[in-house]
Amino acid sequence: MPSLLTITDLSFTHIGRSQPTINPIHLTLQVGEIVLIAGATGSGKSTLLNCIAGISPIHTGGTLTGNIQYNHESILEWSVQQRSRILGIVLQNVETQLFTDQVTEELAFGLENLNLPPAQIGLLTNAALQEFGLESQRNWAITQLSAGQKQRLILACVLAMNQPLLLLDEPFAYLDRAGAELLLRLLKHRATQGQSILLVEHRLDLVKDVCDRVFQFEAGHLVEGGRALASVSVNRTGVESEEAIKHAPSGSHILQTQNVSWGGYPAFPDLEIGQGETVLLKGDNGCGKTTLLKLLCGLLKPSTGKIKLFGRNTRKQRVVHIAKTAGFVLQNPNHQLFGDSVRQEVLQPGVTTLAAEQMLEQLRLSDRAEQHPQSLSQGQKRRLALGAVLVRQPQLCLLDEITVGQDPQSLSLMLEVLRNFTQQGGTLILTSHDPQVADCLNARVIQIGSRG
Amino acid sequence: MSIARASSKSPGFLTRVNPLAKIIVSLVITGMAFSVKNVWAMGVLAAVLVVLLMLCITRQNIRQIGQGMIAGTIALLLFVAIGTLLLNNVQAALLYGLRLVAILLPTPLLALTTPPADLVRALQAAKLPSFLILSLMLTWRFLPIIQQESQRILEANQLRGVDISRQPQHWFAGLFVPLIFRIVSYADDVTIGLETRGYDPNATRSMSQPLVWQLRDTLFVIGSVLVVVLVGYLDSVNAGG
Amino acid sequence: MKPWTLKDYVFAAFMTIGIAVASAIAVPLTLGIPLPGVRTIVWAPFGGIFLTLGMARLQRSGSVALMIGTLALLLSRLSWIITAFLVISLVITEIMMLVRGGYRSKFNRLLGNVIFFASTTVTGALIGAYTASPGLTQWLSQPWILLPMTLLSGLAGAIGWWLGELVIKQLQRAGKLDVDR
Repeated sequence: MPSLLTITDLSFTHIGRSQPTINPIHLTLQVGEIVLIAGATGSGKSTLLNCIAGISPIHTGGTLTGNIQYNHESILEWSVQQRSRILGIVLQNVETQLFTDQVTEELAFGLENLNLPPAQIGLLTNAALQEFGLESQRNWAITQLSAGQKQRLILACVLAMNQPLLLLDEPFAYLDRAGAELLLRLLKHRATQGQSILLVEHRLDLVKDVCDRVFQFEAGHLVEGGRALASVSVNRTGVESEEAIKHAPSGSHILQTQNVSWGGYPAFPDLEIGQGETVLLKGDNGCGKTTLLKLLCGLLKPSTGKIKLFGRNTRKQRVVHIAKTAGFVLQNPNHQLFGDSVRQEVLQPGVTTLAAEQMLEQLRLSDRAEQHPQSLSQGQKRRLALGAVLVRQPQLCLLDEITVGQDPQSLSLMLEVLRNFTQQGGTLILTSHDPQVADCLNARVIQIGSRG
Repeated sequence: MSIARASSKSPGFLTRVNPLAKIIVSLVITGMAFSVKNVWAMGVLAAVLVVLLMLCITRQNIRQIGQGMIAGTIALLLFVAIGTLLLNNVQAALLYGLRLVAILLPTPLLALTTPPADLVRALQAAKLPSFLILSLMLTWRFLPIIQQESQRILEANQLRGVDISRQPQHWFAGLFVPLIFRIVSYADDVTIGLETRGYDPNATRSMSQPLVWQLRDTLFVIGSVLVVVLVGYLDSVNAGG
Repeated sequence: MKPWTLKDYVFAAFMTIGIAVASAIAVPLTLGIPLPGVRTIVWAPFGGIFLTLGMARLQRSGSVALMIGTLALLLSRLSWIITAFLVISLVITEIMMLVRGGYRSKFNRLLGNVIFFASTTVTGALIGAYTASPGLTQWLSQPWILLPMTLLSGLAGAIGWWLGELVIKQLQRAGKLDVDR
């Protein structure tokens, strides 16, 4: 079979790093093939996709060596827009791939860019709406769509353009079971019609049945064949396993909720959490975990029921007041970085220089102390945000989605710091859809929303 | 008489009229309002616009339009009252009050009957450069998103104990700087997103729904011309009155 | 002169969004004050941050026209009057800055901000007054009102520029603003 896409000796080094993110790799993609690239966060799989799409190095900077050929013609000099003629590209960030304010407008947008005649655009739009089960959302505004619907819309828009090659970066991230099955069927169908698909996805079990070949990224090297991702590796020394005995609550409950509900979510389970406890709120996307955390810290006031924090009803307290004893690490660290250097982020009023330095040390950010927080990677930013919260020595720490966007190393550093926090008597409530984290922290698991 | 003419233009009708025609007519009416000198002529113009506005009322927007009209009427009465006191001339104050109505009403009318997508199509048809139209489209799409981001940042400030609404000294480092980093990040990602969708500012693009001139557009233009002529006639006949 | 790229247009659009968000913050603060022009004077320091940032990134003549032109089109949903005085101000600014060769230097950015916000405040106040009544315009045009208004708004624009330059420094330190690519 002729090779549609040929990657030879491709290596990429990000700006400011000494080690390449991708070590020289070879990869070919045949007509009608579906190839999966799996790997942990930060392993290099998205970087590979960006290189093929032309995003790296043109938009990100960095050095690329090697060659990428389409039908034996090098496309290294092609811009992303030029490559979009042959590559249908779907990226991870759902919000930044939608540009109009209405569903049919969005579908038409890409086709207008191809300068297709209006009649053809109409036909392709209708076909796409059918294919992706968006018929009933035809006249909806983009703002009305859920994350899963937005993802389906973007896939519909790109697939309607019918390029010979498809590059999909985590296309299943927001899809529910029905949406995922639909997409899998569609991809299989497109492959039989001759489209070649390069899929990046970390949910190996979901997609491996449709893929012709599977590759895994491990520390920048591409290895054929895949297996379930290594479980979160956290250093467990002998000393720590002794301390693995669950901390018994000290008797008084610092947090009690009764019959709390908010918005369209079903009533949340009643909580009774004692000092020093670690609790993991587990549940699927959209079940309300983040909303519950916001209710606990006072950002939202409950529609029904009451929440008592340190013995006082949160309904009457202002968030700024509650924040004196409760800290909240948000899912997106970009919303809570305010300093103009990493050190300044942790050196807040009331915090000693020693405490700040120690926190940076624990989080492995000391060597970046003078850097601007916004120049850090996502994982580093998250650690810094955690540090900024813990350095204020709150009695309660709330943490939203600890595993999202974290490479294994960053995650284990955070877990380490959190264990120290709880060992010193702090109470921790975190959310995650990864239950392994519960074991590492000896957390009591509470299910939010219905299972599955 | 004007009501009879207006009733042929139901809200659904106005929404479906060619957006470019609507823009041009609203510009003409706004400009005309500056030159009319007679209070009766101005009154007719204002009345036509108010009636059109009332015809735009649907179940969804009745509250908003109702509140707007009540607020507008109160403001108008206040304006005329103050104007009479300052100018010692009721008729002049009334003229200026009605003139304000005639100048300010065409745009909300346009906004109520023209969704942003139609406006974009009108500008494309008017051969405005495609990058300007893109900028407008992106502004509509991402303005609410950036507002949400600023809301998140304000919440994050509360979560670290800073009540930003009462502490303006924190506005810069607490709100603007983080927001700008978010905006710059969005701008980079959106550029990439546009390129992956094949957008090229210099290339020719087709229009998925080209503007087609229809009978209702002709009716609309004729109706508008009649209103303009009537107002002009009243103005010239009553010049100095 | 480098040709305009898609990245430039998108950046300009997001600066327009920033300016619009800035007015959403600033305008409610001044709704109670009936002085003409005061709204623009309060808006200028916030809006100026984004205008300066756009000038620094885009550098060429026409940058202000692009950012404010989009804003003028956006605000046409509110009133053609706003569109009118914004367009007049951007034309004044661009013509004067064309002579100086664009916005590459810090001083040019300062000048651009001062000219733009001063002309927006003055034309906005005059046109707004004229909309209410021609007599009001005459009253406003008296030098003892017009002059302080121009100076104050120019000063407000300068504050916006200064804050904008602070942001530029931070962006450069974080590696997020490739001003000289």
